[in-house]
Amino acid sequence: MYLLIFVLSLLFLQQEQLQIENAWIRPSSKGMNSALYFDVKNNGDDPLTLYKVESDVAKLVQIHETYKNGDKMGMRKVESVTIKPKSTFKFKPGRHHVMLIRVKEDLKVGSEYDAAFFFKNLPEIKIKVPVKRAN
Amino acid sequence: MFTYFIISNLSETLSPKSILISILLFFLFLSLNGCGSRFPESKEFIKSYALLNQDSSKVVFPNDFKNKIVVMGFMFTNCPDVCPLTTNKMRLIQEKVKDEGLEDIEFAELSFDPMRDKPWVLKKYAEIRDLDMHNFQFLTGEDEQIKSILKRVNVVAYAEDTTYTDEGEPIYFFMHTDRIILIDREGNIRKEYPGSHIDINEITEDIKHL
Repeated sequence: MYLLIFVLSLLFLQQEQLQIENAWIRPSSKGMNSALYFDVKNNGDDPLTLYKVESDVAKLVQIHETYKNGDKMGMRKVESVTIKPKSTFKFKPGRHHVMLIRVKEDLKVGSEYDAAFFFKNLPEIKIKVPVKRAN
Repeated sequence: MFTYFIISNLSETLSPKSILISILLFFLFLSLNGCGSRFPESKEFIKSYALLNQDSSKVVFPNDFKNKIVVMGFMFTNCPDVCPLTTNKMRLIQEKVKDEGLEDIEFAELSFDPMRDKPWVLKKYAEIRDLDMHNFQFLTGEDEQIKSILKRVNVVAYAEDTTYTDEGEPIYFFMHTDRIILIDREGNIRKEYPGSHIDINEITEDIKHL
Protein backbone atom coordinates (compact mmCIF):
# COMPACT_ATOMS: atom_id res chain seq x y z
CA MET A 1 0.00 0.00 0.00
CA TYR A 2 2.79 2.42 1.01
CA LEU A 3 4.63 1.48 -2.16
CA LEU A 4 1.59 2.24 -4.28
CA ILE A 5 1.17 5.65 -2.62
CA PHE A 6 4.87 6.34 -3.16
CA VAL A 7 4.70 5.44 -6.86
CA LEU A 8 1.52 7.48 -7.37
CA SER A 9 3.11 10.44 -5.61
CA LEU A 10 6.15 10.18 -7.81
CA LEU A 11 4.00 10.06 -10.94
CA PHE A 12 1.98 13.04 -9.73
CA LEU A 13 5.12 15.04 -8.96
CA GLN A 14 6.61 14.12 -12.30
CA GLN A 15 3.49 15.24 -14.14
CA GLU A 16 3.55 18.50 -12.25
CA GLN A 17 7.19 19.06 -12.94
CA LEU A 18 7.29 18.26 -16.64
CA GLN A 19 5.01 17.79 -19.60
CA ILE A 20 5.72 16.38 -23.03
CA GLU A 21 3.46 17.99 -25.60
CA ASN A 22 2.88 18.21 -29.35
CA ALA A 23 4.83 15.03 -30.08
CA TRP A 24 4.81 13.77 -33.66
CA ILE A 25 6.82 11.54 -35.97
CA ARG A 26 7.66 12.31 -39.57
CA PRO A 27 6.36 9.80 -42.14
CA SER A 28 8.99 7.44 -43.49
CA SER A 29 9.29 4.10 -45.22
CA LYS A 30 10.58 0.82 -43.80
CA GLY A 31 14.35 0.68 -43.60
CA MET A 32 14.75 4.46 -43.83
CA ASN A 33 15.13 7.09 -41.11
CA SER A 34 12.68 9.42 -39.44
CA ALA A 35 12.55 11.93 -36.62
CA LEU A 36 10.47 12.46 -33.52
CA TYR A 37 9.65 16.01 -32.45
CA PHE A 38 8.04 17.28 -29.24
CA ASP A 39 8.03 20.05 -26.64
CA VAL A 40 9.31 19.49 -23.10
CA LYS A 41 7.75 21.85 -20.60
CA ASN A 42 9.76 22.17 -17.39
CA ASN A 43 7.41 23.62 -14.77
CA GLY A 44 9.79 23.00 -11.89
CA ASP A 45 12.48 25.07 -10.21
CA ASP A 46 15.33 22.75 -11.22
CA PRO A 47 16.80 21.97 -14.62
CA LEU A 48 15.78 18.71 -16.30
CA THR A 49 18.09 16.50 -18.32
CA LEU A 50 16.77 14.27 -21.09
CA TYR A 51 19.40 11.64 -21.77
CA LYS A 52 17.60 8.87 -23.63
CA VAL A 53 14.53 8.10 -25.72
CA GLU A 54 13.47 4.56 -26.55
CA SER A 55 11.03 3.24 -29.11
CA ASP A 56 10.51 -0.09 -30.82
CA VAL A 57 9.70 1.71 -34.04
CA ALA A 58 13.38 1.89 -35.10
CA LYS A 59 16.58 -0.13 -34.80
CA LEU A 60 18.43 2.82 -33.31
CA VAL A 61 17.05 5.82 -31.45
CA GLN A 62 19.36 8.75 -30.74
CA ILE A 63 19.08 12.36 -29.66
CA HIS A 64 20.49 14.57 -32.43
CA GLU A 65 20.85 18.17 -33.32
CA THR A 66 20.95 19.75 -36.75
CA TYR A 67 23.68 22.34 -37.07
CA LYS A 68 24.64 24.91 -39.65
CA ASN A 69 28.06 25.57 -41.12
CA GLY A 70 27.79 28.46 -43.58
CA ASP A 71 25.10 27.40 -46.05
CA LYS A 72 25.61 23.72 -45.23
CA MET A 73 23.59 21.65 -42.79
CA GLY A 74 24.67 18.58 -40.83
CA MET A 75 23.53 16.43 -37.93
CA ARG A 76 25.32 15.20 -34.85
CA LYS A 77 24.46 13.03 -31.89
CA VAL A 78 24.12 14.73 -28.50
CA GLU A 79 24.40 12.86 -25.21
CA SER A 80 21.71 14.84 -23.41
CA VAL A 81 19.64 17.99 -23.49
CA THR A 82 19.08 20.20 -20.46
CA ILE A 83 15.81 22.06 -20.10
CA LYS A 84 16.03 25.15 -17.94
CA PRO A 85 13.55 25.66 -15.07
CA LYS A 86 10.24 27.31 -15.99
CA SER A 87 10.87 26.95 -19.70
CA THR A 88 9.85 24.93 -22.75
CA PHE A 89 12.40 23.24 -24.97
CA LYS A 90 11.20 22.48 -28.49
CA PHE A 91 12.56 19.51 -30.39
CA LYS A 92 11.62 20.72 -33.85
CA PRO A 93 12.54 20.34 -37.54
CA GLY A 94 15.93 21.82 -38.34
CA ARG A 95 16.97 21.82 -34.66
CA HIS A 96 17.12 19.14 -31.97
CA HIS A 97 15.23 15.95 -32.73
CA VAL A 98 15.13 12.30 -31.81
CA MET A 99 16.50 10.37 -34.74
CA LEU A 100 14.70 7.14 -35.58
CA ILE A 101 17.26 5.16 -37.54
CA ARG A 102 16.13 2.29 -39.78
CA VAL A 103 12.44 2.26 -38.98
CA LYS A 104 10.96 -1.24 -38.83
CA GLU A 105 7.86 -0.55 -40.92
CA ASP A 106 6.30 2.15 -43.06
CA LEU A 107 5.37 5.08 -40.82
CA LYS A 108 2.13 6.28 -42.32
CA VAL A 109 0.17 9.38 -41.39
CA GLY A 110 -2.42 8.47 -38.75
CA SER A 111 -0.54 5.59 -37.14
CA GLU A 112 0.80 5.81 -33.56
CA TYR A 113 3.91 4.44 -31.85
CA ASP A 114 5.08 4.12 -28.26
CA ALA A 115 8.03 6.15 -27.07
CA ALA A 116 9.69 6.29 -23.63
CA PHE A 117 11.54 9.38 -22.41
CA PHE A 118 14.25 9.16 -19.76
CA PHE A 119 15.10 12.18 -17.61
CA LYS A 120 17.78 12.14 -14.93
CA ASN A 121 16.37 11.41 -11.43
CA LEU A 122 12.84 10.85 -12.73
CA PRO A 123 10.89 7.73 -13.69
CA GLU A 124 10.52 7.11 -17.40
CA ILE A 125 7.60 8.73 -19.22
CA LYS A 126 5.74 6.69 -21.82
CA ILE A 127 3.52 8.29 -24.44
CA LYS A 128 1.95 7.40 -27.77
CA VAL A 129 3.20 9.49 -30.67
CA PRO A 130 1.24 9.98 -33.91
CA VAL A 131 2.77 10.09 -37.39
CA LYS A 132 1.95 13.45 -38.95
CA ARG A 133 2.73 15.35 -42.09
CA ALA A 134 4.66 18.57 -41.45
CA ASN A 135 2.88 21.87 -42.10
CA MET B 1 38.39 62.37 -72.24
CA PHE B 2 34.71 62.92 -72.90
CA THR B 3 33.98 62.65 -69.17
CA TYR B 4 36.69 65.22 -68.48
CA PHE B 5 35.15 67.54 -71.06
CA ILE B 6 31.69 67.22 -69.48
CA ILE B 7 32.99 67.77 -65.95
CA SER B 8 35.11 70.77 -67.04
CA ASN B 9 32.13 72.42 -68.68
CA LEU B 10 29.79 71.60 -65.85
CA SER B 11 32.23 72.96 -63.31
CA GLU B 12 32.02 76.31 -65.06
CA THR B 13 28.25 76.47 -64.70
CA LEU B 14 27.60 74.52 -61.47
CA SER B 15 28.96 74.99 -57.99
CA PRO B 16 31.31 72.28 -56.60
CA LYS B 17 28.61 71.40 -54.05
CA SER B 18 26.04 70.74 -56.81
CA ILE B 19 28.51 68.55 -58.70
CA LEU B 20 29.30 66.54 -55.57
CA ILE B 21 25.60 65.97 -54.83
CA SER B 22 25.00 64.92 -58.46
CA ILE B 23 27.85 62.40 -58.32
CA LEU B 24 26.57 60.97 -55.03
CA LEU B 25 23.03 60.67 -56.42
CA PHE B 26 24.39 58.95 -59.52
CA PHE B 27 26.21 56.28 -57.47
CA LEU B 28 23.22 55.89 -55.16
CA PHE B 29 21.03 55.19 -58.21
CA LEU B 30 23.56 52.64 -59.49
CA SER B 31 23.74 50.79 -56.16
CA LEU B 32 19.96 50.74 -55.66
CA ASN B 33 19.45 49.50 -59.19
CA GLY B 34 21.88 46.61 -58.54
CA CYS B 35 20.46 45.63 -55.13
CA GLY B 36 16.90 45.77 -56.33
CA SER B 37 17.45 43.32 -59.14
CA ARG B 38 15.16 40.32 -58.69
CA PHE B 39 17.57 37.99 -60.44
CA PRO B 40 21.15 38.99 -59.67
CA GLU B 41 22.69 36.33 -61.91
CA SER B 42 21.99 33.93 -64.72
CA LYS B 43 24.04 30.79 -65.22
CA GLU B 44 23.51 28.11 -67.83
CA PHE B 45 24.19 24.41 -67.41
CA ILE B 46 26.50 24.27 -70.51
CA LYS B 47 25.91 20.55 -71.04
CA SER B 48 23.13 18.02 -70.46
CA TYR B 49 23.07 15.15 -67.98
CA ALA B 50 21.62 11.64 -68.23
CA LEU B 51 19.53 10.89 -65.15
CA LEU B 52 16.78 8.54 -63.99
CA ASN B 53 13.59 9.52 -62.23
CA GLN B 54 11.62 7.67 -59.53
CA ASP B 55 9.94 5.52 -62.22
CA SER B 56 13.34 4.55 -63.70
CA SER B 57 12.51 6.65 -66.78
CA LYS B 58 15.41 8.38 -68.48
CA VAL B 59 15.60 12.12 -67.98
CA VAL B 60 17.94 14.39 -69.92
CA PHE B 61 18.55 17.33 -67.67
CA PRO B 62 17.94 20.22 -68.23
CA ASN B 63 16.86 19.63 -71.88
CA ASP B 64 13.71 17.70 -70.96
CA PHE B 65 12.51 20.69 -68.95
CA LYS B 66 12.93 23.21 -71.77
CA ASN B 67 10.12 25.79 -71.96
CA LYS B 68 9.21 25.07 -68.34
CA ILE B 69 10.22 26.85 -65.17
CA VAL B 70 11.91 24.41 -62.79
CA VAL B 71 12.03 24.56 -59.01
CA MET B 72 14.85 22.22 -58.06
CA GLY B 73 15.90 20.94 -54.64
CA PHE B 74 18.75 18.74 -53.43
CA MET B 75 18.38 15.90 -50.93
CA PHE B 76 19.10 12.33 -49.82
CA THR B 77 16.34 10.00 -48.64
CA ASN B 78 18.19 8.80 -45.52
CA CYS B 79 18.09 12.35 -44.20
CA PRO B 80 15.48 12.47 -41.42
CA ASP B 81 15.34 16.19 -40.70
CA VAL B 82 16.58 18.86 -43.14
CA CYS B 83 15.83 17.17 -46.51
CA PRO B 84 12.22 16.31 -45.64
CA LEU B 85 11.86 19.98 -44.69
CA THR B 86 13.06 20.94 -48.17
CA THR B 87 10.72 18.39 -49.77
CA ASN B 88 7.87 19.79 -47.72
CA LYS B 89 8.73 23.33 -48.83
CA MET B 90 8.69 22.11 -52.45
CA ARG B 91 5.22 20.65 -51.83
CA LEU B 92 4.01 23.95 -50.35
CA ILE B 93 5.42 25.91 -53.33
CA GLN B 94 3.71 23.44 -55.67
CA GLU B 95 0.38 24.03 -53.89
CA LYS B 96 0.85 27.82 -53.87
CA VAL B 97 1.63 28.14 -57.59
CA LYS B 98 -1.32 25.87 -58.36
CA ASP B 99 -3.61 28.04 -56.23
CA GLU B 100 -2.35 31.12 -58.07
CA GLY B 101 -2.99 29.53 -61.46
CA LEU B 102 0.64 29.59 -62.57
CA GLU B 103 1.38 27.02 -65.27
CA ASP B 104 4.30 25.27 -66.93
CA ILE B 105 6.22 24.77 -63.70
CA GLU B 106 8.05 21.56 -62.89
CA PHE B 107 9.45 20.41 -59.56
CA ALA B 108 12.55 18.24 -59.28
CA GLU B 109 14.64 17.00 -56.39
CA LEU B 110 18.07 15.60 -57.14
CA SER B 111 19.61 13.07 -54.77
CA PHE B 112 23.28 13.54 -53.96
CA ASP B 113 23.37 9.98 -52.60
CA PRO B 114 22.97 7.93 -55.81
CA MET B 115 24.59 4.86 -54.26
CA ARG B 116 21.61 4.38 -51.92
CA ASP B 117 18.94 6.45 -53.65
CA LYS B 118 17.93 4.15 -56.47
CA PRO B 119 14.72 5.01 -58.39
CA TRP B 120 12.52 2.67 -56.31
CA VAL B 121 13.85 4.24 -53.09
CA LEU B 122 12.93 7.68 -54.42
CA LYS B 123 9.50 6.40 -55.44
CA LYS B 124 8.85 5.10 -51.94
CA TYR B 125 10.07 8.41 -50.45
CA ALA B 126 7.50 10.25 -52.60
CA GLU B 127 4.69 7.77 -51.92
CA ILE B 128 4.99 7.81 -48.13
CA ARG B 129 4.70 11.60 -48.26
CA ASP B 130 1.67 11.45 -50.51
CA LEU B 131 3.16 13.96 -52.95
CA ASP B 132 1.34 15.15 -56.06
CA MET B 133 3.68 13.73 -58.71
CA HIS B 134 2.00 15.14 -61.82
CA ASN B 135 4.72 17.79 -62.16
CA PHE B 136 7.21 16.54 -59.54
CA GLN B 137 10.16 14.23 -60.17
CA PHE B 138 12.90 12.80 -58.01
CA LEU B 139 16.17 12.36 -59.85
CA THR B 140 19.18 10.12 -59.43
CA GLY B 141 21.89 8.77 -61.72
CA GLU B 142 25.52 7.86 -62.11
CA ASP B 143 27.77 9.32 -59.46
CA GLU B 144 29.80 11.25 -62.05
CA GLN B 145 26.71 12.92 -63.52
CA ILE B 146 25.42 13.90 -60.10
CA LYS B 147 28.78 15.34 -59.03
CA SER B 148 28.98 17.35 -62.24
CA ILE B 149 25.53 18.89 -61.65
CA LEU B 150 26.33 19.63 -58.00
CA LYS B 151 29.51 21.42 -59.03
CA ARG B 152 27.60 23.52 -61.54
CA VAL B 153 25.00 24.59 -58.99
CA ASN B 154 27.52 25.07 -56.16
CA VAL B 155 25.96 22.40 -53.95
CA VAL B 156 28.37 20.57 -51.67
CA ALA B 157 27.57 17.18 -50.12
CA TYR B 158 29.94 14.85 -48.30
CA ALA B 159 29.35 11.85 -46.07
CA GLU B 160 30.11 12.30 -42.39
CA ASP B 161 31.21 9.73 -39.80
CA THR B 162 29.79 6.25 -40.12
CA THR B 163 28.20 4.43 -37.17
CA TYR B 164 26.88 0.86 -37.17
CA THR B 165 23.67 -0.85 -36.04
CA ASP B 166 23.88 -3.98 -33.82
CA GLU B 167 23.80 -6.03 -37.03
CA GLY B 168 26.82 -4.17 -38.38
CA GLU B 169 24.87 -2.13 -40.90
CA PRO B 170 26.64 1.15 -41.68
CA ILE B 171 24.74 4.36 -40.93
CA TYR B 172 25.98 7.64 -42.32
CA PHE B 173 24.59 11.04 -43.10
CA PHE B 174 25.66 13.91 -45.32
CA MET B 175 26.80 17.41 -44.51
CA HIS B 176 25.27 19.32 -47.38
CA THR B 177 24.29 22.64 -48.83
CA ASP B 178 20.72 23.54 -47.99
CA ARG B 179 19.49 24.71 -51.40
CA ILE B 180 16.59 25.17 -53.79
CA ILE B 181 17.27 26.78 -57.18
CA LEU B 182 15.02 28.40 -59.75
CA ILE B 183 15.65 27.60 -63.43
CA ASP B 184 14.06 29.61 -66.25
CA ARG B 185 12.46 28.33 -69.46
CA GLU B 186 15.77 28.42 -71.29
CA GLY B 187 17.46 26.23 -68.69
CA ASN B 188 19.41 28.99 -66.93
CA ILE B 189 19.85 29.05 -63.16
CA ARG B 190 18.34 32.36 -62.07
CA LYS B 191 18.24 32.31 -58.28
CA GLU B 192 19.28 30.30 -55.22
CA TYR B 193 17.33 29.96 -51.96
CA PRO B 194 17.91 28.23 -48.61
CA GLY B 195 16.09 24.93 -49.17
CA SER B 196 14.68 24.10 -45.75
CA HIS B 197 13.50 27.61 -44.90
CA ILE B 198 12.81 29.17 -48.27
CA ASP B 199 10.33 32.07 -48.36
CA ILE B 200 7.45 30.60 -50.38
CA ASN B 201 6.01 34.02 -51.24
CA GLU B 202 9.40 35.20 -52.53
CA ILE B 203 9.90 32.30 -54.93
CA THR B 204 6.26 32.51 -56.10
CA GLU B 205 6.78 36.19 -56.97
CA ASP B 206 10.06 35.31 -58.70
CA ILE B 207 8.31 32.66 -60.79
CA LYS B 208 5.79 35.29 -61.91
CA HIS B 209 8.66 37.47 -63.17
CA LEU B 210 10.31 34.79 -65.31
